[in-house]
Amino acid sequence: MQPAFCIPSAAKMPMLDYRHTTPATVTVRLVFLARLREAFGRSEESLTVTGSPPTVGAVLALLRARDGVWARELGVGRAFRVAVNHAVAAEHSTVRDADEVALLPPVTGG
Amino acid sequence: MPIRIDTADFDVGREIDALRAGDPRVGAVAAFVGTVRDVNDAAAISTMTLEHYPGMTEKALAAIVDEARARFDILDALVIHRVGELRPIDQIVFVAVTSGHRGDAFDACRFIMDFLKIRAPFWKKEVTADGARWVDARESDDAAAAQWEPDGTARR
Repeated sequence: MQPAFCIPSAAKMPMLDYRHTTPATVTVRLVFLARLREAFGRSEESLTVTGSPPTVGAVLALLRARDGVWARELGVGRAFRVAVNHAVAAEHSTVRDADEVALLPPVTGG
Repeated sequence: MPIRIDTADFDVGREIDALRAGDPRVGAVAAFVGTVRDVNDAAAISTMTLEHYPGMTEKALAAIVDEARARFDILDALVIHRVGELRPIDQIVFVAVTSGHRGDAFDACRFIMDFLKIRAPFWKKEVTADGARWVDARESDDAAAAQWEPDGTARR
């Protein structure tokens, strides 16, 4: 019978990257575009976020905790994207010090 | 310069001439021009303001053009997108593709437009008699881009 889990031998242990397990605090530059810029009444701000590692999700959690228009615009089911340094990112994407984290409403160009 | 974001208008003839100038391999040029309609969602439009996210816009468009080059047998491509205040009848966007033959030129031109619509960070704000409003994204644009993907979905 196969064990439900097993402890791998030392030789098979993956290298642990402690940068991703030790809590880190970083300061990112938030950028708000189009409708979100108008809703939040600002085009950018600095935000300090802590995590192991700090992620896009942690940034969003801090913003949602401001309640009011922040919680409404960034709530579950609202359509928006996050870009980190100009590339679309996921909730679990890591953010690093001085990253530019942009909140983008659904695009309507063309 | 294959990608241009500009407040100024563009001359379609001149742009096409420049794109295919001196290249005898070109046998086909496909081009698309998007213009401002005077009506959207049953409201009359007086002006429209287009904004974008400088830095990301150029990267997003370059990635779309690169993908078109990988998928289709094309020689060159040009994307021009205007920003700032526009009025009905104004030109907004221009995509032109050169190729040896028309099939790849048509396909690549349409592919670039379909993904520009869902991936390039531009936003339109319309002014109507009831005031200004941000234009909503359309599901039909997602469906158009999704047609190019084997699994039938295209992530914004």
